[in-house]
Amino acid sequence: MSMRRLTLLVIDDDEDVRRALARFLRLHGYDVVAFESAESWLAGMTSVDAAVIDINLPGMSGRELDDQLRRDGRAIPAVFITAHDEARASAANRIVLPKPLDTDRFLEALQRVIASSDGAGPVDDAG
Amino acid sequence: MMSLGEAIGLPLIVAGIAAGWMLERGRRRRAEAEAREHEAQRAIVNEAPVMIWRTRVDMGCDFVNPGWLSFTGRTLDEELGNGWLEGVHPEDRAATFTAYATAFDARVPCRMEYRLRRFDGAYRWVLDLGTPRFDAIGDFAGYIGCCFDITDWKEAEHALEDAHAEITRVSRLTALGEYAAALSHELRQPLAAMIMNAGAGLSLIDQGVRDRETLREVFQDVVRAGHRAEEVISRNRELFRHQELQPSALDINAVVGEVVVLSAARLRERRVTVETQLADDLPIVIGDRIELLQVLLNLVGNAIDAMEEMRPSERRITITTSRLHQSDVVVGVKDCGIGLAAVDMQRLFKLSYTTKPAGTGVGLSVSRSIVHAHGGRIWASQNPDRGATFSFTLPVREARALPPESAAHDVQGPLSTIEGVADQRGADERVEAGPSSGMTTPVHPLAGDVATGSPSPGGGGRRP
Repeated sequence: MSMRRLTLLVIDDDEDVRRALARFLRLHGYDVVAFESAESWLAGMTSVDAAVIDINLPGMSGRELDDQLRRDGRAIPAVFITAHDEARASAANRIVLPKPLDTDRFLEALQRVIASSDGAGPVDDAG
Repeated sequence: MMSLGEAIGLPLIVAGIAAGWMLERGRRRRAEAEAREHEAQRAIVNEAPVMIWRTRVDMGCDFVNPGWLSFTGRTLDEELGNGWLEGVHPEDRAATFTAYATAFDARVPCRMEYRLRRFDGAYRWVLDLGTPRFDAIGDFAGYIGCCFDITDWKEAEHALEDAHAEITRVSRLTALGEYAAALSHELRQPLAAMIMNAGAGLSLIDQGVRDRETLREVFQDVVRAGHRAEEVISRNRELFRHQELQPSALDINAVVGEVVVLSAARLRERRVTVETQLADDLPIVIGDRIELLQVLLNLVGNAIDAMEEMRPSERRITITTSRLHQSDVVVGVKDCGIGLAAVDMQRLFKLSYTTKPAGTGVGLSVSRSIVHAHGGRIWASQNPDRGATFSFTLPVREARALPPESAAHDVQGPLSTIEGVADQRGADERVEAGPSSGMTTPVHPLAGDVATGSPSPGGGGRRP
């Protein structure tokens, strides 16, 4: 983990899950900004270091958000989560974890995507 | 020298003899022809590949043809009188004899199906048709009849029934599978929240619990998520309770609400919005909730597929309920998709007809079977503007003594809005698959209970 506290973006439309994720991540040393949809985050584009994104969001899906950010050269290291069996298979090349999350695997996956993102700069500096 | 009389008489005698001879020859020829005809008829009776029998006025058998004897492998003496009944399967014997005797007493044709023992000991199903016969002066003389081995037809018929039952069973399982997938998705969310919160609680404890208020909130959220999971299960408790098909009093609007919830994930994935226009004060219908869910899930699934090519903003399904002619409740699933132009309307509801690349052609056929078994009709119509509407009716029934299983079943989908009645009548093109369409329908547990005008698939076994 880097010296400063990293800021994580959490997008999940399920309020209970969103709140639990945010609390869990805060207790593990991250700052968290949480949104219920891709659009609501895109409206402000809060700068973040990494993201935890539900794939099956109403409106723009987690995958589409990721695609758009990659196209724009603003890719964020992200762990995707889903409660759907089929959605796991359809998200190749991305780290996708099934809900309910195994907390240890989740933290490991998060650290791995942050580490592999080379410096983990804020999204505004990427690309 | 012969006398004149002799002179005249001789030719007369000769002529007489000649005439007599010719008469005799004609008579003999006729007799021979009759004998030949008789022989030919006997040959038909003896050689025809059917089993022929005849009885007397006392009901006893006095003749069976060689076809019968070679089938049963018995002698003529063994078959005469009531001997033939010995070859009839013991389970069929009484009914067969009763059917024969009843027809006999009324002097009307009889039609019997029974198992008859063949020469090799195997029992074969035969169709036996008998008819009263009368002698030359019109007196009743007994019966004559013939039998055919219909075992192969019977087996084919059973195989068809079994196949139908299997298709219906598999499709029900598929629907239950979809149901289960929707359910597990619903359960995973509170489970995810619980596990995350428990993880957060553990971290707090590891850090020495400086923040008791946060720990309290964590536990409150765990409890909340637990209750939420419990709600999901109790809302779907009937799924776990009913293994058998059970007709019960249903609020069709509640069933539509459940379909919206169950389809929510699929609709979201395919970017389809759904709207409901449900009539207030609809009477209770009698039906099997899971089967009606199956029909609606299938129609919604078709509607989603039909809008594949449309822009996401145009993908809209409207589910309506309304009352039709006092006697029926009608449910409609309307889409804005490709419509019915490329559809063979005559085959739309038939088994194995599909327009989808990966379709099986089972969905609508099974839906029709289910709707018919409920005493309703199902049809498709082209919308005046765009897309198609699939509608089905359910007859309004008195609730009688049936338990109000889902009558108060309160499921509100997050997307459902309750508005006025939408009248779907008056569309231009429609194909109807009413109960009178004469198609084979799988035997259905509801068929005996609920329907007037629903097909009664004669006498077969009940579906497992």
